[in-house]
Amino acid sequence: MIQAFHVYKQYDRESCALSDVTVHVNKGEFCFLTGPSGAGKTTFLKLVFREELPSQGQIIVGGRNVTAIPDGQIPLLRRSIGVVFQDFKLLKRRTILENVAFVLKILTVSSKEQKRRAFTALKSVGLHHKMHAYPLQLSGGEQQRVAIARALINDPMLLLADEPTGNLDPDMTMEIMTLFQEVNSRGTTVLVATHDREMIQRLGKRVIALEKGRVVTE
Amino acid sequence: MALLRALRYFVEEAFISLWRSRLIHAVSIGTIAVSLLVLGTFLTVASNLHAAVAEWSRKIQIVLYLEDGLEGRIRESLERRLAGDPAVAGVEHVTQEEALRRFRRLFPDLQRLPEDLGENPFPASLEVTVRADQDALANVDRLVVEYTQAPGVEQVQYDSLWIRRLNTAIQLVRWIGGFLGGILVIASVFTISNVIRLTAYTRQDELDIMRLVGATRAYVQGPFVVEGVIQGGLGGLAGVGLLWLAFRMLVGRALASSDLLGRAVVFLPIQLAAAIVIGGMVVGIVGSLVSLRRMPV
Ligand SMILES: Nc1ncnc2c1ncn2[C@@H]1O[C@H](COP(=O)(O)OP(=O)(O)O)[C@@H](O)[C@H]1O
Ligand SMILES: [Mg+2]
Repeated sequence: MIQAFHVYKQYDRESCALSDVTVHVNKGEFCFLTGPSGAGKTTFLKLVFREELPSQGQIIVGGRNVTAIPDGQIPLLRRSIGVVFQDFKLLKRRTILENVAFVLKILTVSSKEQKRRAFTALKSVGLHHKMHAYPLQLSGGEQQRVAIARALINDPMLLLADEPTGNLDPDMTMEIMTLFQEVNSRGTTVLVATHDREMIQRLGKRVIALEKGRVVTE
Repeated sequence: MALLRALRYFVEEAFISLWRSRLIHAVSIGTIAVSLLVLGTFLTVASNLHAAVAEWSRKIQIVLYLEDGLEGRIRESLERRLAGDPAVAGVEHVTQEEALRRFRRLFPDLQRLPEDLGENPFPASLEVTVRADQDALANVDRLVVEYTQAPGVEQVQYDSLWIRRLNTAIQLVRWIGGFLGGILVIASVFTISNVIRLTAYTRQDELDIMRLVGATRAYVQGPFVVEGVIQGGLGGLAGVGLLWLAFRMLVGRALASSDLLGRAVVFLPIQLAAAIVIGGMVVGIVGSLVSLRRMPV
């Protein structure tokens, strides 16, 4: 599903956010991307859904070379990937139901269908009772769950989650991980960036560890 | 259906944005309105002058004053030659008596003048009407040259010079109007593009989110283009409206009834007024596209 070959990413001249990263994540796999803060986890995810381009190297996602796809196809790539952003990236002017439905709105799905599916997605993260609330009226953990619901609403082939449990208590963390495993069992490849060692140990999945931009253990 | 949903979304978002920053949009619409008002003013002046000239050109007359006591044979041959000329629409023979009658009709107060002079001072003439087409002025020149030396012709009088001057004036009005209008239209494009850049800037995080969840460029930018079209269209409507008000208040009273131009002064034809509004919309589209050019994917 994800094949990265000798990927480098330099934001500026002095430092290298990623250097010589070669990583393969198979279709249907569930794996963790770990490492201390600043290791390059977020950068790697950004390269996968083409928010950033690598300075060097190639990345193939779902058979598409994302380092070479034309601008016009980038939206198609992103629609096939569900992303839980570290900073949630919710639309402040819209209710959480509208936020989740927005992914379907840009696909010009009918508004009735949008609402129905958004409600189901919110229900799966236990927030359907707050669907008319605005993001800033919710706690960090609740916003995170909205972001998760949005990432999952369109049955993505790949789910990328950047510190998705950073704001959640242990119970909620386990609940979300169970949800991710369910999604994974339905065929979605899952890649979770986290520095929560306890959670990684508890789940016993494959771990890719980064340090200072390099892969240190597989 | 999908296209309709997208369009509906664009329009909704555009109106939300227009309302949210209504002050800056009002300023922008005002700028466009004033620009188009200036352009419209020149268009009105030019189109009125143009219509007046067309009207006068239709009435261009060349008067061939005939020598006293000219033989009817020579006069008739002159008439035949003129009537056979493709540029001539009509020839009328005005006898000395007819000329005197006209004088008396025009100047009743001077009834007695001819008698005081002792004889009929008015020469007979041939009044030649020139066909009204594009070559009318050139034809007038040719006929004047041709007949000034013709046997039996005493003098040739014609009135095309000031029509020529007016034509030049129209060109000048058009040129100044086009130049000023062009500058103002470019200024409008910049105004709109800056306003849209500003509104896009205040919503940057929102636009980023849209991109990152897979919205196409067209979908992200659509609302801004619609916003530009609405701004430009409203500016155009306001400009035409202002022009109409100004026309009513200034021109309507002073000139409409007078015969200064040989015809009533009229407002812009509806097609031109519509063209101004549509022009405003085009300005809006161009302005929005200019500001969105550099948006990342
Ligand atoms: N947009 C950016 N511009 C410049 N430097 C960046 C940018 N994003 C990340 N970095 C740098 O790249 C390195 C890796 O960052 P990041 O990928 O966010 O790490 P992590 O997610 O593992 O904490 C850090 O040193 C960070 O300062
Ligand atoms: Mg990070």
